[in-house]
Amino acid sequence: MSRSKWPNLARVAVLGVVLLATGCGEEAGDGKEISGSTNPVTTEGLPAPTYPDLPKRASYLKERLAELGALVKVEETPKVPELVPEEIEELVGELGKTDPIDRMNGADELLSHREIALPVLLDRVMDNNRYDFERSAMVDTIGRMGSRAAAGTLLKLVADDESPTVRSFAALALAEIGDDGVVPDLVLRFKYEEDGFVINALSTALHRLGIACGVEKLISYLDGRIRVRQEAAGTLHEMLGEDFKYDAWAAAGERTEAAKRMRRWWWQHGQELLLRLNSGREVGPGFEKRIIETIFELSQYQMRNVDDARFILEGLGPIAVPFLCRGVTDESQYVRAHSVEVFVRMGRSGESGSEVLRSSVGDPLIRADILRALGVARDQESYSLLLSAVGDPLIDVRICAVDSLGQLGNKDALSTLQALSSNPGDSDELRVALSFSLALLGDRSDLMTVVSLLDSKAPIDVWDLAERIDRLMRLGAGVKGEVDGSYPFDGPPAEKVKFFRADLGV
Amino acid sequence: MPTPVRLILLVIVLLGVGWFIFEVTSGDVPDVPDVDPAALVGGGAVASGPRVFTSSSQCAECHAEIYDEWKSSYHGQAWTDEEYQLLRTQENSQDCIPCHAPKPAFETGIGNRFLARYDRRGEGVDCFTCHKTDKGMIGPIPDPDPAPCNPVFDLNIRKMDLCYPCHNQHDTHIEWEASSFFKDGKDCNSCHMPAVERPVATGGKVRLGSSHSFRGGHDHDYIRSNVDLEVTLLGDAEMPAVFQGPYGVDLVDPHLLGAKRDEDDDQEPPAVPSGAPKLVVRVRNHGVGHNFPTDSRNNTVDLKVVVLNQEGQEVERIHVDRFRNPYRDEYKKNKVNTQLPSGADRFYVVQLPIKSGSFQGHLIYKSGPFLQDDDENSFVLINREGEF
Repeated sequence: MSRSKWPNLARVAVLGVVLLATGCGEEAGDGKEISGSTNPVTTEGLPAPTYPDLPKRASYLKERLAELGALVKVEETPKVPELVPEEIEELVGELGKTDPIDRMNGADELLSHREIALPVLLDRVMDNNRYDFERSAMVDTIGRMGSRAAAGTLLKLVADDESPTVRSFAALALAEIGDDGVVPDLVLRFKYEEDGFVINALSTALHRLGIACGVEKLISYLDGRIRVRQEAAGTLHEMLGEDFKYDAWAAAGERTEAAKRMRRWWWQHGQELLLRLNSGREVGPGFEKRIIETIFELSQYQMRNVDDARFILEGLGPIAVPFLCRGVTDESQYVRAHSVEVFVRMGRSGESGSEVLRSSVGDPLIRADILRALGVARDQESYSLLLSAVGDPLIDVRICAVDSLGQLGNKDALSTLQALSSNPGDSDELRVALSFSLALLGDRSDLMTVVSLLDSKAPIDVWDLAERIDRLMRLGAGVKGEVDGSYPFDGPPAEKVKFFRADLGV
Repeated sequence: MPTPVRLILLVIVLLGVGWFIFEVTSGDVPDVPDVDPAALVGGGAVASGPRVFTSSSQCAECHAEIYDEWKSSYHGQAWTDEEYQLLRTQENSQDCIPCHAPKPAFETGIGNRFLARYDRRGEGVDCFTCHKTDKGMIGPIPDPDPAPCNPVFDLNIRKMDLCYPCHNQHDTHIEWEASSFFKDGKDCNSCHMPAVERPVATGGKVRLGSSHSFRGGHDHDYIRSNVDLEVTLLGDAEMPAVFQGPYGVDLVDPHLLGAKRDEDDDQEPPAVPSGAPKLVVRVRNHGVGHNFPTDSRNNTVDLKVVVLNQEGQEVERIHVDRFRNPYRDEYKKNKVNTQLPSGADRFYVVQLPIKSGSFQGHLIYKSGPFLQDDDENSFVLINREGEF
């Protein structure tokens, strides 16, 4: 908190005089720079950064998890009885018949013996030597039985089974059971699953459980084989309520154009749509437990576990936000750091967490990422906070504040950023951030200089550049002002940089 | 004016000036409320006080030799390394940043996973990663000379807790703990930061310090001195004696057992004429304190035998084995970790496809599992030749 009674500029001026008189802080002679820093930053005209007090750290999530542990009953996979009644064996055998009518009748009969039949089916379905159609019929029947005790086996099938057909049926069976506690595990499959049919089944299953997820992947399958693209288009239509005039049976050229339209639309409006579709969904205790467990995965030692957890939480979007808000003040520094990181990845989907983020900015460990998250969420209320943070003594914080000011799009920030760009210090990262933020606010005078750094030996982070380019394009500040279908929307960073260079003619 | 009154006025004026200076210098320029001092270690600047260190290049002013060693090491190039940049930009991954551009270890807590920094990423794993703390720059030398960086003696710097948060992401630390090196008290520093006697700072006393070149898998001569390849012609009668290796034997005949681990390498071997000799190939990890090659991300070593006819033409290139810990996605397809543990050796019997000619046994180190033998990032570590 500020302890001085004097206006900032006067204080800075007096400090300059005193330091000059005492021979200290030579760089501070003009009163424009923070003395003592080897990365001086111009602070003229900026208020000194002031942040709320360090938020109180709590163990809410840990306590809540303990409560939920007592509340959520874990149903174990039932054991197969030593003696399976002959009648049940016969009915299970029906599921292996080649005639679908036989299989359907067998399944219907098994439903009336679910208590005995379920453990038998859960056991037999793991037998890889059976035909896919037989195992799929078993999975379907298990789903129709509606028992939560089957969830563990079905999740195992979704994740590990060799047959895409069985994986697809298992995902749909989980939706049939209706336990939303499996949602995080289904979301994670989008990270690893490559088969178009299974992706479609995962999206459909999640949609039935009330979550919109996997849209980008589905769009990528619109160029796939006929049945894959047909199903992907159907699911997309169901989820988005819009078909973009895509016809899976149309000529290749027409399909490609419609897919491009959808891709471009999604790239520009997807975050807002997900925010709308996934907001306000209530979560059951099992689901809540899995979300909190996933947040605790963020403190795992191995990065691969952390990355999986981040992927799930990002995919859940606004559903995860209330829990991530708790994570931001958690006792574990990793939960705090990575919870904010998830907000950064979520973009607009995380905007309902902005107030909590603003109030947590006193935590120096996560301050930089909080400022970044507020920028990607385009939280206009954070404008003055970001502006003052440009004068923060920590370079990480300055970089993120500058980045976010560009994203907010408030042109009042132009003069501050322009003043700073005249003397950004020796940080390449800050220079790049300034150039892109200025470009986002309409001043592209320095953009070419930064892009030319790509050809230098400077250790420029190409991935970071690509991300900025993407943002620049997405917010409508592309050099041509219009992003055409050739922009690599979901492409690798190197492709985006290539596109940008071609666009600029460099 | 009477003297006592003057004195009182003078005291009042001096107190006023004192208050003025106190108020100015203790004001909030810049005003950072309730900042945990440890957080400021990450490269920020404060208004006054001792010199603030924000870049490793500042360390070169006094520690030029050590700085140069570090700069040319793979810690110094952790961010700029082309292979790293290529992989990262291809995969959109942010997972790699915390270890390739970490915040100081003592900021996030020694032994804990590193967090990524936003600035000076080009400096990679910099001096601050290990040395910077809120009390000064720590080092392993007792009674350090006073210096602007406020050197502090702290043996935490020699702990393995500094290394494993990154190097155990792909299990190197676990491999070391399972080795005889661990039991014998040899740690990461024993091999990767060997002792060097020299002035630690320019013009300072000669002391026993450590090398900062962090030699390891990128130094092929160093690997050669710790791993061996033997390729010999073998008559059947000699076989039993050869297979009494000290660390157990892994006998593989790639032609007989189909021990090929490359998906591309599924060609049927040519018919073998009767009387064609066999080779015994032995690969030995005698000096590496962890598996060879360690790390699951990229490192791959292929063992190949190239068979030439009497005219010197290549008849067959036999892929005898691959030493590798499969990485994430690969893991589903091939769950076998074929790295060579510390102290272990592995034997192979290789059937030659012709009766007479020559052979070359190659141990090829690759910085990626999909690289061809002749790629610029593939190196023949050891080559053994012979005739038959």
